Amino acid sequence: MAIINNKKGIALEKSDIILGFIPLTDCAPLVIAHEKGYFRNEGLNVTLSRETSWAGIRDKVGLGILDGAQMLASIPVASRLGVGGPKIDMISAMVLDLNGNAITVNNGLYDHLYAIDSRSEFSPLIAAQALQCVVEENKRSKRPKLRFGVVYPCSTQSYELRYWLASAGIDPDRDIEIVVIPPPKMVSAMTDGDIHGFCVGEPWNTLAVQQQLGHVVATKYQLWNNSPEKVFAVSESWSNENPATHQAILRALIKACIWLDKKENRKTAAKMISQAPYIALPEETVALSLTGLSLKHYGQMPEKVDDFHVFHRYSANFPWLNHAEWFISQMYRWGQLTTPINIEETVAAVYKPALFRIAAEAIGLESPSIDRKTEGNLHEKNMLTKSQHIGPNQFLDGQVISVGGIIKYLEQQSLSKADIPALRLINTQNEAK
Amino acid sequence: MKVLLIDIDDTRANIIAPVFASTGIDLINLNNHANDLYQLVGEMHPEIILVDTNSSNRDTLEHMAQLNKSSPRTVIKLGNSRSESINRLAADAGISIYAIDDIPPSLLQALIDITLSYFYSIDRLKTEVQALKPEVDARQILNNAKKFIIDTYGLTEAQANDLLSKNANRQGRSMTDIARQLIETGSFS
Repeated sequence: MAIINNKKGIALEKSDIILGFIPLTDCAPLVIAHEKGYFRNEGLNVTLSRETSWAGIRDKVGLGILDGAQMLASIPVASRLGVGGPKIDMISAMVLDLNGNAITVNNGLYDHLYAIDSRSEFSPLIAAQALQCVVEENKRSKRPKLRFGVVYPCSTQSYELRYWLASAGIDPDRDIEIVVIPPPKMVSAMTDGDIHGFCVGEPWNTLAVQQQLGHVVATKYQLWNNSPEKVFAVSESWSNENPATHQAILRALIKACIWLDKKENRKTAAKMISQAPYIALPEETVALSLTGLSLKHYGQMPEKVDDFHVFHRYSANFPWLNHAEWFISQMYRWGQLTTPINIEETVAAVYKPALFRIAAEAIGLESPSIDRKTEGNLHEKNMLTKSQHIGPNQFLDGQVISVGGIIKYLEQQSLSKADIPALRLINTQNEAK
Repeated sequence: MKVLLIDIDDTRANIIAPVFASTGIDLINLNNHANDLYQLVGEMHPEIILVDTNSSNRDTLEHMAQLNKSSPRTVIKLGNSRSESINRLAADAGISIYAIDDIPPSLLQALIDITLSYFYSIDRLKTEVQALKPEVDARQILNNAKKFIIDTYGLTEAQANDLLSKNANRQGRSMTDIARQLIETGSFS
């Protein structure tokens, strides 16, 4: 194996690297690190491989065909537990972005929601309640269930859609039908009438609205402010064999995220990532959400949402252990995970704040000194000055999760399939009193 | 036993089909299907699915495995050990494998090995043929040149060979070079 030295004279175990991505707006950190030479500056010769499914990305990282990849923040956790797929010891030392998804419903369903309550236009909570009325109507008249698309069974989008539905008492496993469709096929599935709605990452919601197929009824930001979306993940064995290379990739990706978070760079970024080898969609479609404009309804002025995509501020890149805990809580809630496990140990095996801190320090950045934080306690309106280190973190349903309080939180969730006593038995020492 | 092929192109399906048929496996090829995959797989109850590693239908297959415990699920390990052959099946043949839980790892291993050996033999042949081509071409040129000499000057084959070899030595060029020139220009220099 050739040992290649980068500028700083650090020996890399490997310099020819293949990283996988899915055509979504938040593949941006990988594309920018590549296009702007951040990888090259670290002595890395990176090939970006456009992948067509999350299962494909997951298996290729597990099998060593890819060195690393952009991944839904929930996949490394699910893979470690073998939930919804094979057991793969995946780790993630870095989050690539926050927010960025939305729930879109087709025109027919939207008109129905609007007729029930016109505030569905701007309120995700009211839209969900209106949907609950539609679901009841359908049940009474014995019409088939509504069908919603998500991108992967254990995906952030699946948990977001379920969260939104459950907020109005809709049971996602009984009252509607959820199907899995990869992001680039989502819009055409709506065109073909296969699905009534979907939860997917950008630019696919904007595209559906621009094509006058549907309306956005909720954004990921509205469901849980500044929640993690994609991570950079590698297999644990790869990381152990290539520690310096892993650090070099992390440094390059953090630099790309810093660049991407600057408002003035977003237009350039849209131009780069919309190109054929990456997303392959019109620049205007990609640029909207990336420049902080949330298009929910065709023909209306898009809303200004500066935090629609967050790539760096609010300590976005830090792999918070409590975020991994939240994914596990949702796996229990929806019965995807039934075996009681030690949650604290599991998340610490998957998310690696210590590795992130090393990379951040090497490029002169400060990292949070704690590994977990409270969620749901900071409202947009209460943020006096816009802090760069901490952002709003409200949930749609107003719940709060304190550090160490994940089981208590899970206990309060509606429609939950979690076996709380069994979980308490295993996690007893860790729970906050 | 029922095996389903999803998004495997004809070139590869034609390699796999006879192998599986000869073991008595019922092979169903779903290439370019237009129908709902949930319905198709639900009705067919395949025990093994071979799918293109880069198929965009894979996440849907994952979902089916999650909804129904008796659906085939992704295999990336055989028993407890990491399998090199599964890796090669994905990396070289671009095929990922899904199987129901009761298929014994040894049977899966055998099927993967047989499939791989077919892919390898065809690929290896192609590579070897490519490697042979320049040598075969050179041989042909030499033969043509010798025939030309024999026909034109009424020499024996040994004498023709001698003539080409001497000219090659004198000019410091290869015999093939001299032969090619002779055929193209009718002259040794």
